Amino acid sequence: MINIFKKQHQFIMLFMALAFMLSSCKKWDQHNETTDIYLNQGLLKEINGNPALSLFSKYLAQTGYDTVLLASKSFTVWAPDNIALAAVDPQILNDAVKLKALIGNHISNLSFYTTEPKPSLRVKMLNNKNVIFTSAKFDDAKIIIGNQSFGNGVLHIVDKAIIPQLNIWEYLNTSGTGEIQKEELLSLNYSLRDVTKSEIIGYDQVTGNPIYKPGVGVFNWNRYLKVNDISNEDSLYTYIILTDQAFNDQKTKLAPYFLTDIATISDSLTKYNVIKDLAIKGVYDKNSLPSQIYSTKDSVIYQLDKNAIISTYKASNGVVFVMNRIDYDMVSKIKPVIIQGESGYTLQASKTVQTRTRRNSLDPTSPLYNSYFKDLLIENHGTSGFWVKYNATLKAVKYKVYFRAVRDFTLTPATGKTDLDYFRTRIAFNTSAATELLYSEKVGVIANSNGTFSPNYDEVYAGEYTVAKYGTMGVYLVANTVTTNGLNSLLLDYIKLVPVP
Amino acid sequence: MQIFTREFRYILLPVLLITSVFNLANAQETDTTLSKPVSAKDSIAAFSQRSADKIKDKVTGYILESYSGKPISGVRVSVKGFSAGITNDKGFYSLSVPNYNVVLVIKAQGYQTKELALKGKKSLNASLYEEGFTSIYDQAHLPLADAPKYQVPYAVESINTNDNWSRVNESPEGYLQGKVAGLKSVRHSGTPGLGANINIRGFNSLNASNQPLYVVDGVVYDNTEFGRSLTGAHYYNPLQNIDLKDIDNITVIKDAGTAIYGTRGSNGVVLINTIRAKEQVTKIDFGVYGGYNFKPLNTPVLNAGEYKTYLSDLLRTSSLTAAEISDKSYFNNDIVGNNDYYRYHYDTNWQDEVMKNSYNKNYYLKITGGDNIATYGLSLGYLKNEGITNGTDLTRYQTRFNADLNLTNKFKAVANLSFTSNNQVLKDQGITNKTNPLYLAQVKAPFLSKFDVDNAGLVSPNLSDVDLFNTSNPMSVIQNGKNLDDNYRFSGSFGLIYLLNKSTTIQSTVGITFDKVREKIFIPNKGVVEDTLRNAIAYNRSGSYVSRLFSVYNDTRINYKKTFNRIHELNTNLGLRYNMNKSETDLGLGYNSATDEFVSVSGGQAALRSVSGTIGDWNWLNMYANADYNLYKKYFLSLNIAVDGSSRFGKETTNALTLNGNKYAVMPSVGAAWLISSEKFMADAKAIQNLKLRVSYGLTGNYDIGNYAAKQYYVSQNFLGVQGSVRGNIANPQLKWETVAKTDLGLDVSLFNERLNLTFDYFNNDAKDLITYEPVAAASGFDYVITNNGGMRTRGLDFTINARAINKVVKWDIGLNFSKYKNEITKVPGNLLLNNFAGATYITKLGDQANLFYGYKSNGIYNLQTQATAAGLVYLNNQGVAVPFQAGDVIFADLNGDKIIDEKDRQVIGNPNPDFVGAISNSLSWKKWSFDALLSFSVGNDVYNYQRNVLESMSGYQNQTPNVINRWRVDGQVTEIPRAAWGDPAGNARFSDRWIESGSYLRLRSATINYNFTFKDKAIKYAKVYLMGNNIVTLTKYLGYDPEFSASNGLFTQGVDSGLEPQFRTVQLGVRIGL
Repeated sequence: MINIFKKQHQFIMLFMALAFMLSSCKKWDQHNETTDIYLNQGLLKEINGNPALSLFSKYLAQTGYDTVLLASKSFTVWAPDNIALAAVDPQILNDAVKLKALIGNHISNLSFYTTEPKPSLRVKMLNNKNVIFTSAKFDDAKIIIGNQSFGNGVLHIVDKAIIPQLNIWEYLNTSGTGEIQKEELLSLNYSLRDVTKSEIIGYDQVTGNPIYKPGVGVFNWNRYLKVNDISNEDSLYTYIILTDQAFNDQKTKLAPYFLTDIATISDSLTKYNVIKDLAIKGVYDKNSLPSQIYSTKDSVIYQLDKNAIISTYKASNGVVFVMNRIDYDMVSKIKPVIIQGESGYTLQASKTVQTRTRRNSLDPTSPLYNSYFKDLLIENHGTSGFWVKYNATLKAVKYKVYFRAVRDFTLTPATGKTDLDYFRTRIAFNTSAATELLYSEKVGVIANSNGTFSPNYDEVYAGEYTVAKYGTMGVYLVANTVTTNGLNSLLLDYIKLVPVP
Repeated sequence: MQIFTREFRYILLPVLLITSVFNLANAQETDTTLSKPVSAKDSIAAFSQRSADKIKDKVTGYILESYSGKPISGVRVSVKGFSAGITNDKGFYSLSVPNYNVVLVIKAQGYQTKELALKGKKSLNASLYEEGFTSIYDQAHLPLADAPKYQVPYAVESINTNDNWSRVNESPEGYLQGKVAGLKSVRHSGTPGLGANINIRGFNSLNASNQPLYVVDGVVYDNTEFGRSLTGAHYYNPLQNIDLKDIDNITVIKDAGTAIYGTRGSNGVVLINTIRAKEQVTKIDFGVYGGYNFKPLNTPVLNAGEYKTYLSDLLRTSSLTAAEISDKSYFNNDIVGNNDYYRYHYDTNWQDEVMKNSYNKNYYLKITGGDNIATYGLSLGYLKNEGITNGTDLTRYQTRFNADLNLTNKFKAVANLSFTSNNQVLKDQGITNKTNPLYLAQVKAPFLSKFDVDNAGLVSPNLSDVDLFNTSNPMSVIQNGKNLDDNYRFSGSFGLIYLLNKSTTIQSTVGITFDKVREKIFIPNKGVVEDTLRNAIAYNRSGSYVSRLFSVYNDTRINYKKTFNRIHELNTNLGLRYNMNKSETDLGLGYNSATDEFVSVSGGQAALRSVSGTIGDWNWLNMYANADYNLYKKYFLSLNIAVDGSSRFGKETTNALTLNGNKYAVMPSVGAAWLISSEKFMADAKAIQNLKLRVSYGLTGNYDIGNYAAKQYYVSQNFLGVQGSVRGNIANPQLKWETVAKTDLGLDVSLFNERLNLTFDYFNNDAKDLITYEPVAAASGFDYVITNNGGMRTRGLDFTINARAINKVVKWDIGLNFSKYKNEITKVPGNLLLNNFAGATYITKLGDQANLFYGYKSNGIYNLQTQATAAGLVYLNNQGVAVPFQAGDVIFADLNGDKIIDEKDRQVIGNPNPDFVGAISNSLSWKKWSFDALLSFSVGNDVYNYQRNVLESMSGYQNQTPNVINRWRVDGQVTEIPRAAWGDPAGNARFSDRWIESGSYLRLRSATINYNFTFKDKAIKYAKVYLMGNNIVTLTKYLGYDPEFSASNGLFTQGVDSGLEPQFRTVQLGVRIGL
């Protein structure tokens, strides 16, 4: 019995030894085995192998995107099938640049599945354009077969090729509408030399300054785009192009506010102010415009009339309305001016100035207790009619003048008195001696009915002042005409000038 | 039962004492172990004289060689203390015997020794196996005496370390793997010399040590880890200081036979005897070994391309926008305009950089010999074993000198001296994710280079710094980091044995151990992620650590041994053991030295430097008495009792013996055996060579309860630069040892003239008073108090079968052993205990097994959003807000049905304890060839694969296994792998059965082919050539590097693959020359 056992055992031993060798190598293979065979296959191989995508595959090869798709990172391809590509204008297909833009408009980095848009996603394509992707559609194209996962990304097959759109800036430059607007925008171009990227070809013998190689290291840019970058594909604007007529209308409307002594400057200022606020954040549908729309940056309040829109262009980074008329709130256009008390330009004479940080309420239970403001306090200067000068750029318009001063100290009368010592103060324009506005008497204080006094946190109306010319003007805060300390203190949070157009 | 036990030990103690004293008074002539070997001539003379006095009964027979059937001449056949005979050319012997119930002892050079009972027969033939054959007649080297194994009433296994010259790089614990049924040896890691976690018959303690007691040449060998290595997951293993080739034999006591060691015996005892001269002829053995270590197979991880694809998908789920992701320079494949192109377009196989094949070598010289006055054994060794982690190695110098001196006829002396020095270069392992090169090699982004690369793609010879994902460069750790461990141990013992009269001996052994470990570490700034200290950022780190142990051991005993009327044999001992230990560890840490060139602690910033240390002194006193009795060599009875005191015990311990105000543990044990095969009625059962029934019961203890846990102590504390002392613990003056009551029922069977040997043991270990950390009220200022409030019961069985399958010119021995255990918690504070390690949670619950994995059960993933919505399960995010699971998330079982997946839904998901472990051994010899193979296996243990948890969690920058390619991506996708999600908000990678794998394995642990050249009349007597392999093949489904690892000896780290160096395959060629 033992002998039989022995023979079998030897055989079994040998067999087991071999089995060990094999199995120990295989354990991971089994664990890591790809359950979906496509996950080991690249996108390009699938596209090239799919007969319904033969045209797309051909164009991939033509445009060089085939090698891009071989890179080791994730892509999403919305591949138009052959029928869709056959419907594309041959002019595009035959133009290498346009074709590349077209094919690049269907490929993006990273994996995007139809489950992700909630409800929509703007996906950046390899041609740098963004395309809206929803759970069923890729821009206007319907997704026929979606969410096929491969080793390096996702494939969706769509029924329409999406022609890349121009962005707003490109459209403005090529559309041929709004010529004056375009001209004004282009006038804001400027160029700049980046010394680090420039190449020195010699030095000026006289000045010793370097001479740069022409055309290298010089960058062109536009002042308008610095603020509202309607050329950026990733931004999303609703942009208004004014017809020439509308532009001129606007210019006429705004001209009085920008009146200066020099006509050309007035003209330039007016034109800039016409185009300044024509970009609106986000995309609005012409048919469902809200009653109030705010421009970017300066928040001009528009009331756009859809009937004034004479054409619409769907740009890659938003929408363009070509309009023959625009309506907006003029106050929001020319804007109130606020002069902070602590940001004075100069003083009549060198004195100790206090810039204080104060609470908006002295009551700890008030929510305002934890909000603060800064103000200016000049005390004990001993000068009659002492003044502080501020500078402000004002438009040629009538302003209502308000100011806020909060006196939250010395709120009990001196011994033996029933009333406080007040800081008489007035505001003067142009010169400190100007007297269009009168002295305000009880600055910063409210006299309560029970004989006590409280700080006045409200703005106080000081009068009206009409500015004749657009430009920078001195605004003065003038103290009481006494030298007595305690009676000629200057206290100011801010001065507010509200235009009355 | 408990009451009985207590009574029993108090009764037993005086009985034993009285017996011992009584016996001493009645000492008279008999054989003792110390008597000089009776030469054949003397014996025959004695026989002639005696036979002249009285004609005795005669026995005749033939002694044959078992495999050839040829007669053996010159075999000595004797009746102990009565008569002896020698076989002639035909193998015939004739012998007079006092009666026909005696036992014949058969001894021959080059053959095994046998002891056969006559059982009333007048003739007895025997066939002998060659020397070294594993036999029931082998000597078991027990704590107090040597005895043939068949006479021992305890569960004892004795190992002839004949193969120790072919297991060169093994530490003794690693060698023990698969050698003994019931001894589970799990090697800590593949780091050379690190040793193994050894459990004999499962475990008997929750928080105290579960390691057996080691006794080397009669002196307790301290193998505990005190102090803590500065290198991650490294442990000092004192046992590595014993060269396996120095070991003559090992005996393992598994049951209550360990009670003689009192409170140190609960986890079994391993007795190791080192080189002694077996004969007086000078024998010189010289061995030279050289070998090759194979680096383990890499864990498959994503290549650079796959990784980038995965990463781009993962980052989509982070807070980054699509544009931000696409703009990352590692996704940008344009060479022009991308300054980082070259830096991020590599495809580095980090594992190939970190792991390498390496070499090992070993020189070893052993000389034994002497004369009739003194014999000695001397060994010298040098070993260098490189690890598979690049840059790691172990160098060892070792020497040992053992001498036996016959000072006078009655006075003997024994001296044992050994000195071993190790120098080891290590690297961090385990959960040190900033500095563990093996971990870093798996998770580091493959598109990075190990060197600095400039914008133009030129490669610098400097290693690259921490990468953009804040992952260290493993090569920096390897090349610029330092983890040096230099340690040595001196062990010396000197024993005197005085033969008072022929029955009584007095002996005393004094042993001294001096052990020192010195570690230095440095973690550079460049290439390694900085660490955060309490008040600073640590850019580079240095450390210096010294740990010292000094211990004195004494064992003094009086032995009385006598045979009465050749019927009763009595062997009694009364003794005292004393062990004094002093340990000290000193630790200095430095941070932020000026440059990575200043690598010592003194180079660090003064304000950040920290110095600390510990002192641990403890004493142990063990008074013991023992009586071994047998009748007709058929009925065996053994009684032991130990009375233990220790400085660790509390002064107010209840239920304990009190002497002079100190508390003592009383540990009695009894073992009985019936050698059924020696009964007359078995005379005709020729197939049965040996049949023995054993039963033992006794109390053993565990004194590993902390040096000062019973006392109130103070620790130093720094508060704003002012030093002070604060209370360090809540004292528990009632703290006592852990007690384990061990019961064993065993059967030893030997059939067909020893061609088939079986041993079967059933055991029940009942542990009580286990050390527990009981939580205390927060107002106390402490987290826990140490109490004796645990209990558990471990039951199991051991089974060994050894067979000589072929016994011809070709000899083939095959053996199988296996053991299983199952434990049950019988007492635990609060009925439940949770422990955490490496993200795993263990539950220890009343009525259940200890240290089970406790986590979430998963059941695939939600493939469809509708499925997830329908299930309606939620998880609480880190703000406590309930968030519904979505498609692609794992379906976790909602145990309590509240629709919230939280901690309450955890359940037992695995058991790190194996169903059974064991080994298959093979030994094949043919002429001068021999072949040995050992297969070890472990079945049914679960492993938490922490490594794979990281490598498949899909939540961060860590590289992943290719398995993640199958991840869920889109609604309706059929897959089992969840979605990639940055930061894993839904906890898909939480501790769940997804990471629990089967740790079962079958491993060809070692295999040796040996050819033996013999030379006649030459200077060289023989030369043996070995071709050896270690860990040759492993059959396992476990996905990690290796299924065998043990993060520490503690119970609550078992089965967690925390990222240790794996076991690796080694092939060695060696030559042993005998002079």
